Parts: sequence; structure tokens; C-alpha cells
Amino acid sequence: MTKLTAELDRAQVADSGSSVTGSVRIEPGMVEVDAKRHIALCLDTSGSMSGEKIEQVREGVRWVFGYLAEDDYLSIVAFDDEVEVVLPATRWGTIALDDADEAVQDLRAGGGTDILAGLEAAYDTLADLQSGPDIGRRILLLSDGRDETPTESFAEFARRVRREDGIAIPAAGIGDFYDEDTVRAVATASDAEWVHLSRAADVENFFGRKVETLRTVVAPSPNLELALPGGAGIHDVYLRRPQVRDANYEWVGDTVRIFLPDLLEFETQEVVFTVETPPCEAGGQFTLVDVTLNTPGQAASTAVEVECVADPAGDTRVESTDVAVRHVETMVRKAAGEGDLDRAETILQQATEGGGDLDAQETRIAGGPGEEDGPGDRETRIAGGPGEKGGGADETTDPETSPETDVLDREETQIRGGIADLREADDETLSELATVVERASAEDLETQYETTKIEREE
Amino acid sequence: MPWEPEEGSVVADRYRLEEFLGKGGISRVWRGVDVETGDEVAIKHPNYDSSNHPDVVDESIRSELDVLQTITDAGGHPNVMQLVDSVVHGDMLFIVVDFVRGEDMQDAVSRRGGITNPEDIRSIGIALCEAMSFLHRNEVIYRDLKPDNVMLRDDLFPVLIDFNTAKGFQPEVAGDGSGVSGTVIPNPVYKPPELNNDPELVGYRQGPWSDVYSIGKLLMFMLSGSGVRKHAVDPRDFPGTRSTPAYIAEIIETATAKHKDDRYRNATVLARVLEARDPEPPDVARLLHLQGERTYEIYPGDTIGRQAADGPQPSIALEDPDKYISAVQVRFDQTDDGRWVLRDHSLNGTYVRSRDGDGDSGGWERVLSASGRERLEEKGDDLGTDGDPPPEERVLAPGDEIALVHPEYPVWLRFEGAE
Repeated sequence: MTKLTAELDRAQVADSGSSVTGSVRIEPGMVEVDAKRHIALCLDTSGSMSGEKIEQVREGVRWVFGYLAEDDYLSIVAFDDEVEVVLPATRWGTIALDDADEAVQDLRAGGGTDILAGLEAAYDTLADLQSGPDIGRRILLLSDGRDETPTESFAEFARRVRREDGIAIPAAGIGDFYDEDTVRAVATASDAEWVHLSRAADVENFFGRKVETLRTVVAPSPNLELALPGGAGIHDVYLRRPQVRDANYEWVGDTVRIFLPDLLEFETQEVVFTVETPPCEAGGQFTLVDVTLNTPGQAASTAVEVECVADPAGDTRVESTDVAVRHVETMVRKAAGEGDLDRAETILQQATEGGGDLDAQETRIAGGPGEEDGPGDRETRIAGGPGEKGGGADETTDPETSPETDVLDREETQIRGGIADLREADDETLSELATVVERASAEDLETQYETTKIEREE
Repeated sequence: MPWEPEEGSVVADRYRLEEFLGKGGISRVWRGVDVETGDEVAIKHPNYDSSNHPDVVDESIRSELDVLQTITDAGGHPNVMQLVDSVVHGDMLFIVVDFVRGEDMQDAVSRRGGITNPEDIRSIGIALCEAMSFLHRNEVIYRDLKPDNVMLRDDLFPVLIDFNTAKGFQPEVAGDGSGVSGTVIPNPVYKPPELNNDPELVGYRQGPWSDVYSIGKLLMFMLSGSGVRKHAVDPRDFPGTRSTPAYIAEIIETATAKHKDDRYRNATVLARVLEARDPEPPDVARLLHLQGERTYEIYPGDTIGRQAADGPQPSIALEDPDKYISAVQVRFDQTDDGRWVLRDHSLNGTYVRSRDGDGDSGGWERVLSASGRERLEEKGDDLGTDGDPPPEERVLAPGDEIALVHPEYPVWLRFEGAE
């Protein structure tokens, strides 16, 4: 069972046209039968990976073994400036653990970094395997380096393997010098998550999480179609959950087709967007978005209507601050997650000045809600909080290994200060909004919560 | 700015704050000393400087005190944090608890590079099972079992701490399951599916089998030093824990099964298999609901209680719109020599009668918990026995009939014995 919910921030639009913010939420239920997994590990073994990092990669790969079931396939590709297929795609039930361990021992660091060649080889290991609605396909990319290939070439490759073969490429950058643009482009273009791993020890966590959740694929390669009235426009389309990032979409006539990550058991997805409504005749009622969720063999749909009213100024009132806040919050988090705090602040200011009521992103900016804890407990910081070094999806942030924390903390403080000024404006609205964001944050934790946490000394 | 306690502050002329230990979303915690007795204590007070609204902070810490009080009233448990005192000082609530010298499981495991001795795993596991079982029969739901919430003394004796997400049973307040205190945060490593997700989507409710899952995951964490997200995790599949003894590996695998029906039924059963070093669960007996005409399997440690949206969830939840049945009414167990015992945990008591060889039934005999007895004595009610107070437990024989609440109340069960 998958629940589909569409919401708009208002029920009325101006006859001259309005900017309407909307959200579509998809809540998959429990998976009946475990999906089969086809996984290629695509591992950077360039010289800079030597030492603790390569040791943790070996350990992380051995952990992957623990998660696999008999019918799953695993391949391992190592790349530096050359590519080596360490383990061709192998059905897990047919290989002895000792043999797999031996393959892992062959992972050694040295040489340069050719990420694209690594990805292409990883793709080749999976390409000939059977695909189907009960099979989850992934290349897990781990890299700590840079590749001179233009980012767009990575995005093209990733988009192609996703659209044509249903393979997503969750990508992790490790350390301080990896090519964040590349990591983000590969993951985003393939409808997958990108993460920043600040500690070598997080490799195991990343692999484990990705491999385990792939077992719970409810539907691979779903898409969402938003049918809009003729003349309508759409912009600022983002995936808000499971991870804040650009949504991949295309126009098909008057329909916007948004490509989604695979639906996983209990993993809520949410898309937020702004629609520019076409002029309409005051007094009429019409369907602004007709939503269809397409999954293999099934479709679900819902629709939202609006009323057209005479409103020369074009500023029909926002009725659902909830939806509007989630949209702004998504844009702020995206900018902050990409390290662009200036832009985050600008978006926030524009939103608060425009509506005067879109505060409350503070919870996010401050790094996520605190967890209720007890004796011996500490300030908890939820993974995925923006504002940390370069990682919108920072799995685990450790102040001790992140020298820029101080600077960033100052910038965060500035943003918080900006919000605090606004806070004095209207306490009631703000506390209402804070509740909205708090609730949304709590829901997010389901996908973002990780076991590692931060200790902050007093 | 209100007064903020600091190192050296003496609270209520009695408790001196010695060392700041840490803070969370709800509270700040200090190591302190009771200046009257010289005892070391832990002292916690609200942390208003957190992301939570002050009302939430106040409510949570008050709820924690309530739960700790419930635990104290029930006689406490060695593996559960013990309340010493609570005082209000400078308009602030201070909860004083026993200080546990040691470190939390997270720190202990990372410092030791895992706790891998099978005997240590066994004894910590059994102790945690007993603690959870104690909380369950006293109608406290813990809700957040994870390494940070277990203190390990230097001798690895575990003590459950942190009760601000726990809650006692408040049948008249609750109803929607959202509870009274803080949000329960999903945790895919230590919590089973029924605690992380909408139970309607999962298809079954939380219950004593939920504790089993979390304890299983804690055992895996101690062995491997890592939180493992996998269900039905077999330590032998993972690096570093490949040489785990088979019985421990199989016990962990069963305890952490995704579906509750594939796990041990409750923490008592998990404790028994750990004690026996044998993953096979102990005997199962049958119980027939005479009005409902339904048969239930019962394992040692299983409980029967009233179905309540927000209650501590018994193993077997019976519908009882009139709410005479307690949330945890009775608990079944098995003695070392294999006899089944019924123990009452209710306020009103439970009645049992046996049939003799001719099938004639004897009289009803009341079984009543100590707290139920106290309550009736306070009310001046007749205990229904001539002189002697009713026992708290009674041995069961096949064919015995059990009347929850009172023989005139139409909820009767027949104990059918082992299969």
C-alpha cells in the first residue's frame, strides 16, 4: 500500500495568475517479499586513499557481505587511473566467504583518479544481469578525489543508466578533498542520495544502510506526473524527502514528469514545487494539479482543485503556511547543504519579508532538532543537518576533524540571528511555524537518523 | 535570566553539584554528592537551553519523575536506575538518582573494542531482559532502548538509565498513542519495524516482542562495536564477529527477526534461552478464552491485559470496554521443575479454580498482587479470604479455570497445559 497526498498552499488563485506552492507526498507501506539486490561497489583506490581510509573500505566491504542474501549479486570495481574488476557480478549463494574476503584483500591504494572509468566498468558488471520490478539495482560510489572530466559528463552517464537500466548511484565523498560537484551530480542525476563522510569509519555505515534498505524496494524507478492546465508554468521543483536535492523532471505536453528514487519500505518521499497559474475566469473552479504516481504495473492518482477569484494584485492569501514553509525550508536547506550560506540567507530573507510569516527554518539551520536524552547524554546533532562542511547529507559530522566548523558556526549564528530578529515580529505565527517545522523534522529523522552522533564538550 | 545551577551549587541544602556530566534535549546532568550522607548521586534538572519548548522540557522531566516514582513504588530493580529524591529549588525541579559509576554502553564498547566474551554477553543480556520484564509488568513502557541508555559498571553490570521517553500507563489521558512525553525518535538500528513505523502499515502492534528485538540488537552492538541495521542479524556473517558461538549467534538472529512472530515472544523467554545456552524457546502452553472461544499460546513471561491504545502492551490483549482488567493483569511463568505459575499484577485480582478427578470444580481462589492488596486494605474492602491474605501467585494445572477480575465478570480462561 502506498499513500499519495497532494497539497497546495491556497485554495484560491487570482484571475490574473498566481504563484502557488505545492507538495506531493508518497508514503510506501511494508514490502511483502524481500527484493533481490544487484549491487556494484565502485571504489576509489587512488593513492590518497592509502592508510586508514583503504583499511576502512576493506572493512566496509566485508560488512556488505553480512547484509547480502543468497540470491543477491555483488560486484566490486576498484579504480585509480586504471580500473580493475576485483569481483565480477557474483551470485552471493555461489561464493565462499573466504574467496570474497580474498578479493577484498586485493584492494590496494595507489595511482590517480578516473571516476568515470570506474563507474562505466561498474555499470558493465551489472548491465547483463536480469532486471525486474522485484530487483533493486545500485552502483555504490565511494571517492575521495577529483577527476578532470566535466561534471555534466557524469550527470549524463548517471541519468542514462538510471533511465535505461533502472540503476541508481548513491555516492559518498570521503575526506576533505573529494569532488563534491561530481559526487552530487552522479547521485542526483540517478535519483539517489549523496553523502559526505567525514570519518573513514562511516564507510561501513554508508554501505550497510544502502545495502540493507535496498532489500525493501517497494517499486523501482517510479515517476510522478503532474498534469497542469495549459499555459501553466512550474519552477523550483525539489525533492524534499528522502533527501533535499534538485528534482529531475521533464515536460511531456502539459504534464511535468518527475523522476523519483526507488520507493523503499516506509521511506516517505516528498516533492515540493511552485506553479505559475495561467489567467482564469473569476468565479470558476478548476483542477490545478492532477497527480499520478506511476510504478511498474500500478498507478495511483489524486488531484487538487482551486477557485479562481478576481484579484488584480495577484496576491491571493497563503492558507497553508505548512506547505509554503516546507518549500522555503527545502530551498534553504539545499543552498546551505551545498555550502552556499549566503544564498540560504537570501532565500530566507525574501521569504520572511514577502510573507512575514515564513520563519521557523531555524530548527534546520541550527542543525536539526535535539533528541530527548538523559543522564550522560549530550547535545545531539542529527545527521543531515545543513551548514556543515560541504555536505547536505553529512552522515556524521565530527567537530574535531572539521577545522572549518568555527567559521561555519559563526555563519549559522548569523542566520539564526536574522531569524531571531524576525521572531519578535509575531510570536504566535512563529511558534505555529516552529511546530510545523519541528514536526516535519521529526518525520525526516526516520530516514536521516544515524547511529553516530556528535559529542560536544561543555 | 533565571538562576542556572553551576558547579558547587548546593540544591535544597543537601545536594552539591560536583561535576557536569552532560546534557540532552530535556535535561542537564551532574554528578553530585548528598552532603548529609556523603553518598554519590546523579542530579538532573531541566535544560531550557535546548531546541525543545520549555513546556515540553518541563512535561518530559516531570513524566520521568513519575515513571521513576512508579519504579520505586514497585520495589525497584537492580538493573534500573533508582530514584533517590526529588526537590524543587529556585523554581527548578531536580531529580536525584543513584550514581552509576561506569560508562554508557556506547563508550564502554568503543573503549574495549567490543564486548566479546560470551559469558559477558549472556549475563548483560539476561540482566537487560530482567529489567525490561520488570518494567513491563509494572506497566512502564521504556521506548528507547539503545547503547547510550545503558550504563555499564566496571564489572559490566548494566543499569538502564534515562526515563524521559518512558512512560507509565495513563489510561484516562491517552488514547491516540501519542503519549504524554517527548517524541519517540525512530531508530532503524535498535527499534523493530513496529516501533519505527505506523503500526497500521506494519500490521501488528508493539508489545513485549519489541523489547526482544532491541535487546538482540544491543547484544550485536556489544559484539561488533557497530550498530547493524539488518533484521535477523547473524553475527557470524559480519567481520570481527565471525567466530561468535553458534548459540549466541542463533539467539541474536531470532531475537532480531523482522516480524514479531519470528522472534522470541518476550524478554523472559529471551532470558531463558540465554540462560540455557540454547536458542530453542522453552515450553509453550495453551490457554482457552471461554467466552471468546479462542486459543492462545503462552510462553513463560507472557502477560494478559486489557487492550489499550496507549498502554503497556501485554502479550495477549483482551478487549475490555469497562476497563476492569488491568493493563497488565496476570503473568505466566514456569518454575525450574517445569510447573506453570500464574502471578497476579492487577489491582482487582484474579480468581482460579481447579477441577478434581471427577470433573467437579472446586471453589474460586483469589490471587492478588501486593499492590492490589494494599489498595483494597486501604479502601477497607473484604479481601475475600478468611484471615489470610490471598497469595500473589498460584501453580496452575491443566483444566484450571481463570477468571480475570472476578468470577462474575465474564472473562474466563482455561489453562490447557503444555502441548
